[in-house]
Amino acid sequence: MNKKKHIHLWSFIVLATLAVSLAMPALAQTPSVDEINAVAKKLSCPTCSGINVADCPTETCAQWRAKIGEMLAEGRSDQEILDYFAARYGDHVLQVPPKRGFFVLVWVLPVIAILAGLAWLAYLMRGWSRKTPPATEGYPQGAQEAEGGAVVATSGSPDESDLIEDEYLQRVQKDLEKLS
Amino acid sequence: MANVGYVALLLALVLSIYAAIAALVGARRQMPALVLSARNAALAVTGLLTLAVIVLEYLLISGDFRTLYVAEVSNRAMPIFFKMTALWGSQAGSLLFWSWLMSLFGGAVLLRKWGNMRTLMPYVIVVTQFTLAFFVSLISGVWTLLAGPLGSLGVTGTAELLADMATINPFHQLGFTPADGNGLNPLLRHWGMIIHPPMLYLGFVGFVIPYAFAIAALATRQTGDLWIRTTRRWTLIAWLFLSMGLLLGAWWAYGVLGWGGYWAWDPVENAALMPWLAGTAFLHSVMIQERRGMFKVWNMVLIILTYSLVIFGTFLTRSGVISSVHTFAQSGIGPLFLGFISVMFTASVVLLFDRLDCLKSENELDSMLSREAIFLLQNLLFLAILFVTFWGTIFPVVSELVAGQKAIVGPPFFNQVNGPLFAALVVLMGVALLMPWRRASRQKLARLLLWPTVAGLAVTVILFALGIRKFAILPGTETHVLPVSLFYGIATFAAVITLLEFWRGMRARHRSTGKSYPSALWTLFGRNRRRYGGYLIHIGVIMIALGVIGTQFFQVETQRNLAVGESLTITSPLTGEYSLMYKGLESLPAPEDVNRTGATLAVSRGGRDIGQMNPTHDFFIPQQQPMTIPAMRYSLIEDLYVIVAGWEDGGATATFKAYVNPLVNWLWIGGLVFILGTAVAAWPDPAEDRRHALAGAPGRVVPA
Repeated sequence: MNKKKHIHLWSFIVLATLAVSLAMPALAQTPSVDEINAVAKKLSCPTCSGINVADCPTETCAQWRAKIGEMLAEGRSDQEILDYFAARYGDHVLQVPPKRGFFVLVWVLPVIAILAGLAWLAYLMRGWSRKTPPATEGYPQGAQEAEGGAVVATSGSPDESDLIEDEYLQRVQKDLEKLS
Repeated sequence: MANVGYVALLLALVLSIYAAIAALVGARRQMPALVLSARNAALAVTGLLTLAVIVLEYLLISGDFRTLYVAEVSNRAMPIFFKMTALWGSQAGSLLFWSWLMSLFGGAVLLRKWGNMRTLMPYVIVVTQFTLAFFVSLISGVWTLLAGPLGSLGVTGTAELLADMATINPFHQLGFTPADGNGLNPLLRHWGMIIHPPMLYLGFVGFVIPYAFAIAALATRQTGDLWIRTTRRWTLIAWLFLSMGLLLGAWWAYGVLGWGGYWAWDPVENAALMPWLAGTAFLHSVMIQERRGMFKVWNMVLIILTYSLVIFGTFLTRSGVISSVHTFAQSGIGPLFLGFISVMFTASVVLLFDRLDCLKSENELDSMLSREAIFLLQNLLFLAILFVTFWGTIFPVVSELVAGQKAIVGPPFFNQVNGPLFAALVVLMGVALLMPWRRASRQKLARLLLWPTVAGLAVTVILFALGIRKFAILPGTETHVLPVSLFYGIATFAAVITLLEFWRGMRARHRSTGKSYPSALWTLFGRNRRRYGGYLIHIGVIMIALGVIGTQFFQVETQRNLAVGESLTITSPLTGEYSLMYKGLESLPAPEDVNRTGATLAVSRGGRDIGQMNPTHDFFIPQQQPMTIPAMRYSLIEDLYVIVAGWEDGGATATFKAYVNPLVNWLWIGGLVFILGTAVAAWPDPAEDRRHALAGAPGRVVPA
C-alpha cells in the first residue's frame, strides 16, 4: 500500500513539474513596444547613419525590433541582446564602441587630455604666482570696481562705496571722506 | 544668363587673388597706392559675388533647369519662397552663398575708417581675400584644370575627383534641358531650416575677421590689444550668429524632425559646435588681455584654433568623410579643404612662433584665487569639451584607418563625458562673477559664496527629498553616482550669484543716486553694457541648462498602435497622466509634390478634455521621403509631443509615438535671453569704450 502511494506521489510531482515547465514560456510576458524600443535605442541602424534602431523606419530595423521582442520574451537581458547583435553584425551597431582593444582609446584619451591640461595649468600657475603679495590689497567687493579700470584700495571704507561704479562719484566720495 | 554669373565668379576669383597679393606687396614695400588698389579690388569682389548671387537667384526663380544646380534643388511645384532659399540648398549654391557672405564681411571691414588701423588693414585684406579666393576657386571649376596633368601623371583617382568638381560650379550647364528639377530636400522646406544655414554661415565667416586682425597684428608686430578692441564687436556678432545658428538648428530638429530630441551629437552638429566652443573661450580670454595684458600668446592660439575649426567644420560638413544625415556628395572638395586647412594652420603657427617676443605678458598671475585663474580654468574646460567632441567625431575615421574596424560614437559617449564638464562650467560661471582681478581675499570670497552655496545645496537636498532620485552615470562606467538634483543645485548656485550681482548694482545705484530700482536697473544696462549684457547671457545659459537637464534625464516616451477610438496613456513626471484618443486620419492640402496626412488625437488629463493635437505626415513624392511633423502641447513645465509614425488600412489603425519633455521650453526662452544679452553687450557705447580703452593704458591696474 505504501509503495503504491509513493508511486502516485512521485508521478504527481513529475507530472506537475512537467506541466509547469511547459507552461513557463507561456507565462513569460510578451514585451511591450516601449520595452522593445528601450533596447532598440541602444543600437545604431546598420544602413542609415546617425539614427538608432528605435527611431529608424526601414524594414531592416523593423525586423531587428521584432528580433529584440523575441529575445526579450525569452527572458534575455538587455546586455545579452546587445552582445548578440554586436557579435552578428559588428561592433558598429552599438551606440558606443565596446571597451576593448583599440576602442578603449575613445574613453581613455579624453581623460588623459583633461588630466594633462590640469597638470599643465597647475605648472603654469605655479610659475606665474608671485611669492609676495602686493602692498595694497585692492579687493573690491563682488568684483565691481570703479570704472576708470583702476582697482581702488578700499580697505577700511564702508561696503557700499565699493559698489559704486561711477568713477567721478567715487572720487567725490573719497574727497568728502578726506574732508570729514 | 548663366554665363554672366560664371564670368562674374571667375573675375571675382582673379581679383581676390590680386587683392591678396597686392595688399601683401604694398604692405611690405610701403606702397600705399598698391594697398589702395587691393582695397578697391576687394570691394569689387564683393560687387561681383553679389552679381553672381543675383544671377543664380534669377535662374532659380525662373526655373532654368538647363543649369545643373537649378535642376538639383528646385522644381516647378515649389513655392517661390523655397525657390529663392534653394540658393543654399546644396553644395555649389551654398559655397557661393558662403563666399558671398565672406565678401560682404570682408568689404564691410574695409569701408570703416582706417584711422589707427592703417598698418593692420593690408594684412586683413590678405587673409580675408586669400580665404575668399579658396572658396571661390572651389566653385569656379579651376581645379578641374589640374585633372588633365594629374591624369597623365598616373594619379587617376585624384584626377577623377578633380574633374568631377566641374559640377560644383553653380552655373554649370547640362547638355539638355530637363522638364523638371528634383526639388529642394524636404528637410529644408521649413522656415526654421531656412534661417539656420545663413545664421551659421554668418557666424563662420564672421570669425574670419578677428582671425585676420590677429594675423595682421602678428605680421605688423602690433600685438597690444588694438586688434582685440577693434574686432571685439565683430567677434561678438559672429559669436551671436553662430550661437543663434546652433539654437535654431536644435529648435528645428525638435519641431520638425520628430524624434523627440534636439541634439544628437551628429558629426555636422559637432562641426558647428567646435568653433563655438573655441570662440567662447576666446571671447572670455581676451578680456584678460584687455584688462591685464596677459595671455597674449594664448589668445592668438585660441583665434587660430577657432578659424581652423571653422574651416574644418565646413570641411566635415561637405566632404562626407564622416557619414552623417547632412552628407553632401563626396568629391574632390575634401582633399582640397584639408590642404587649405593645413596651409593656413601651419602658416599661422609659424608666424606665431616667430613673433613670440612681441607677445610678452605685461603682468603676472598674482594668485590662484583671481579672475584670471578662473578664466584659465574655464578655458581649460571649454577646450576639454572641444577635445572630447573632436575626438568622438573623428574616432570612427581614426579607428577605421588605424585598427581596420569601424566604430560608431553615439550620443551616450558625448552626453556622459561632456555632461559633467558642462556642469563644472556652470559652477565656474557663478564663481567667476565673485572673483576680483589679481587677488581675492579668502574671507570675503567665502562670505560671498556662502549664501549661493547654501541655496544650491538646499535645492539639491529638497529636490532629492521631493523624489528626484535619478542618478547620472559616471562617464565610461555603468555606475550611477551623480545625483541629478545636484545639477539643479549647481544651476541655482550660478543663478543666485548672477541675480545678486544685478541686485547689488541696482541697490548701489539706488542708494547713491536715489533712483528707483527699475530705473537703476535700466541705467546699469545703459552704462555698463558689456558687464550686464554678459550677465544676461549667463542667465540665458542657466535657463538652457535647466531645459537640458529636464529633457536629458526625465523624458518619457511611449509608442502604440491604436485603432480609431482607442487611447494611449503617457505619464508625465510632473503633471500626471495624459490620455490621447485616436480620432481619425485625413488628407490635408499641400503643395503639388507632397502627400500630407494629418491625424487627430483628443487629449485629456484626469478625465478632463483639454484639447486636440494634429501631428502630420508629409510624403515628398519626387524624393520618396517621409517627414513626421510632431504636434506639441507646450507649457513652461513640459511639452507633450506626438508624431504619427505610420498607419494601416487607410487609417483604421495608426502607430503613434508620444513624448513628454519636461522643461524643454526653457531651452528656447534661454536662447532668447541669450540673444538679448549679446545684443546688449555688443551695443555701441562710446563712453564705455573709452573707459575700457583707459583700462588698457600701460600700467593698467593702478592701486589708488
